[in-house]
Amino acid sequence: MSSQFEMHNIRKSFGKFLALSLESLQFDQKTYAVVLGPSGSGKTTLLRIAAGLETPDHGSVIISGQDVTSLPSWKRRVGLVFQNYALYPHLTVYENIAMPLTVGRYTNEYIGERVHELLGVMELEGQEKKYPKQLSGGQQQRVALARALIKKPDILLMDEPLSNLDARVRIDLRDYLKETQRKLGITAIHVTHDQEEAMALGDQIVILNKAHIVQSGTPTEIYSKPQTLFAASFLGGINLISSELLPDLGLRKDFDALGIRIQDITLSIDKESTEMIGKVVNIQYLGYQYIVTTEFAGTRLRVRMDSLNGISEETEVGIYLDTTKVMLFRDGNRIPIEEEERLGNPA
Amino acid sequence: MRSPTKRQATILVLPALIYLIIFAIYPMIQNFILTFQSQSVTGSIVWGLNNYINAFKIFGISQVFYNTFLYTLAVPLIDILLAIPLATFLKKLNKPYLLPIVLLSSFIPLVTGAVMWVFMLNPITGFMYFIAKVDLFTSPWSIVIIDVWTSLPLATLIIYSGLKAIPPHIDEASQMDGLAGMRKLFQIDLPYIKASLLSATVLMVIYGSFTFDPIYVASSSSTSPFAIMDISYLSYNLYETGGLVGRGQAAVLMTLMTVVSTVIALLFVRLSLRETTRSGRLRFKFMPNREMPTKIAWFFVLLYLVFLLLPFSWLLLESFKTTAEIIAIPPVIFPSIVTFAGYFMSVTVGQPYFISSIIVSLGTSLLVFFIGAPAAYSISRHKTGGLKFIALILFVYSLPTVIFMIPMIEILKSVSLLNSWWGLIITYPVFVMPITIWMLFNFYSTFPKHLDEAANIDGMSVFGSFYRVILRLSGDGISVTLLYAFIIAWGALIFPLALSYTPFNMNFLLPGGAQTITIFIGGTIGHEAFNYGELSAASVISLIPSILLIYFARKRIDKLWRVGGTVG
Repeated sequence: MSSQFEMHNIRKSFGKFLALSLESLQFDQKTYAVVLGPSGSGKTTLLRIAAGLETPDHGSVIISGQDVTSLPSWKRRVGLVFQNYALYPHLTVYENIAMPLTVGRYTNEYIGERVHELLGVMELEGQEKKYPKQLSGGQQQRVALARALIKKPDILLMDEPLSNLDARVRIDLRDYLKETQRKLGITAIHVTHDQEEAMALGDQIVILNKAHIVQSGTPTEIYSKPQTLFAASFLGGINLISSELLPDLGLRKDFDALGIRIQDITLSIDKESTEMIGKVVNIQYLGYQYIVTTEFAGTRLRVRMDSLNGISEETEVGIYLDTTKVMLFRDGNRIPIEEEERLGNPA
Repeated sequence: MRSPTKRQATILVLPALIYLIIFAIYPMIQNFILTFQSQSVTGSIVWGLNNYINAFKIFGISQVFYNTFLYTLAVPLIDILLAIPLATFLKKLNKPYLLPIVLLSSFIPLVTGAVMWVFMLNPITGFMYFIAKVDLFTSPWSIVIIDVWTSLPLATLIIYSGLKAIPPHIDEASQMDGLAGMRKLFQIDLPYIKASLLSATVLMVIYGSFTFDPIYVASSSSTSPFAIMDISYLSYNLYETGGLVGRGQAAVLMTLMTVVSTVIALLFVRLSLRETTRSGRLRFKFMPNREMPTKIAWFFVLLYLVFLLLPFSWLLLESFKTTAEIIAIPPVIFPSIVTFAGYFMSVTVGQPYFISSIIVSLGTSLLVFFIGAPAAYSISRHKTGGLKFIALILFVYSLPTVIFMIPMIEILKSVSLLNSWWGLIITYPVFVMPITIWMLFNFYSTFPKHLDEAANIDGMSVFGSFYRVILRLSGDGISVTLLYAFIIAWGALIFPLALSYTPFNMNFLLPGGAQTITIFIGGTIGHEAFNYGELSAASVISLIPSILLIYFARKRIDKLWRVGGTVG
């Protein structure tokens, strides 16, 4: 597969605030790429630079092998879905979708054909004469999507496209976005702060924090092998315990935090075979599983359990960590569980 | 039973309502009654339709109607056609210092503006000498030019405010779609700000249809006053010179104006209060789709600035010239000796007029504040009177000031306040308060609601939350609005002409006389003995409150004048 989108040595500041600084970033053709980060991490800046709405202080943007850094937005073969859709309120659905084509030299027949084709793809038939105000959030979203796709762009850019929708519509549209991307065989770059959305959609995830790329990889790589404390905690579902609080677990000693996913801890009424004793403070029942929160040495640990096995609130429990699955961090970076692994075995 | 909240909200509106009934509604009825009163040969009052018949037989009436028609149509048309490009350039160039400069001529006393033009267009001693030695004041188009000059900035401001309110994501979406320049303007921007465009148009219609001040100033020195006269000025003239007969005929014309402005007002009210529906079509494919180069935009803005600032420069130069140089033929552009004699003269001779203007304008602003602010708050936050009250406000706003003249004289006579500061202070709000309430209404509509709610939870009544919380937090909105009220009062001409006849007697213990600076400026220009230097210096001084307003309000001025689509 060839590379469809590249950014090299991009740097962008707003006054003294460094918004984005990255050495290189690359997405392959037909990839669904997700850029994930908290607010202020630079993810929207990245997208706006890709769209041509923002000019980088230096660096280059390459789309389909062509350097587009100095090209205006509409010459870049990209489509953009805005966070709040940015539909023209005074134009109908049809006119909104057709707008990008009215600028080029297209016949009205061709425009009509394209619009109806997209109305079909977006399941918006019969809505073409309505105004954006008359549509539901999900429908508006699909109009925005159709407008972004009408010029057959090489890359579809989406800025938090699901954040303005109800939780349930969001899940539906999530499937829909991925299916549309697959069906059209297009490269998508989707920006979000929602780690679950990123995991669900991304072929490739890029995590940004404070203007820098923290980690990039497939969802599995990122989830199972977070390289930094930030990546591990931002993806969620993890407990972080400071090293001073822990008994000797038979691991190396030079780490300052230990991370363990909520499914890799077990709680038991049996307190005999562990030095870690906690007290259950809260039990959430989610229908198919329980999330048990227990207090241990002043911090709270969350544990996922399939059954409670006699545990209830206020119970004293023994805490068992699966030491093969723990992650150790020093100075914010991940380090191997056993020192020998890295140093090589001298003996 | 009405809730105490509702009752208190109503009480806040009541003073303004009572005021408007006495000083706006009653005069309209009074005018209508007067139309049926005329004088018989023996001098006794007869009731009948004579005034209606005779009013239309007045010499020159057809020219007067033609002029009124011309001002009503040409002024708004030219204004809007010139304001759209200017507003677009201002947004494009995005230089914060440009807007206040452009706005100046809409915020100065109309009389001062008219004086500037009369000076400048004088074919012998004015700047006109260098262009063509013709007297433009023989044609009504001279008045159109002055009207456009004074109203174009306001139209531009309204359209500019609309353009500035287009959300950035809409601009970015059109950038993604490849729309630019004229195409974007016609396809996206203008349909988006349709409400502002319509409001600006109607305001300009109101503005043009009842032109008074420039005609008053120009006809005093004009050789053919009928050439530029309109109904508004004719009715004033009839009353001033025509005795009881004139009064009846003036009342007919005033009633006619009331009817016409009611129609315009209905339009205005509907446009200002309705929910905006936007519709546009993809019919602008022929428009050039390219951004205008910044240099060309600058070139056009400079042309506008020449038109808007030339009269100011001429006046300023005149005010520092010696009398010999002012009346020199050919005219001297730059004074060879800078003299302050004009300023010295104007503050000595004009002193009583300046004092009256300051006191009356201050008094009016305070009265308007005490009556208007609670009403604006109450109708904006508690929806008191629904849309009816705000519709009444906009209606009164769109009425020409001259129609209140005759009944106001009667009212002030009956309470012996004619020719006094108090007389002017209590009558001025009829043309100052509507715009003030409308501005504050818009201001409070954007005021955070949770402040009232917090005050209510803390146990405050509507009065409490208004006087103890809201008023203290609305300092910026109120100060700008009051400053605006001050300059409207400062620039008033018709009321002081009708309601005062001597200058202040300079006795602060027993003050008498109330002629204002606008009379000093506008009323002396035609007289043989008048002093050009003194007059131009007084005119320059009369600009000071306007310059202060624009300076203080420069950062939020586009938000206060955002009209249309604010409700619903």
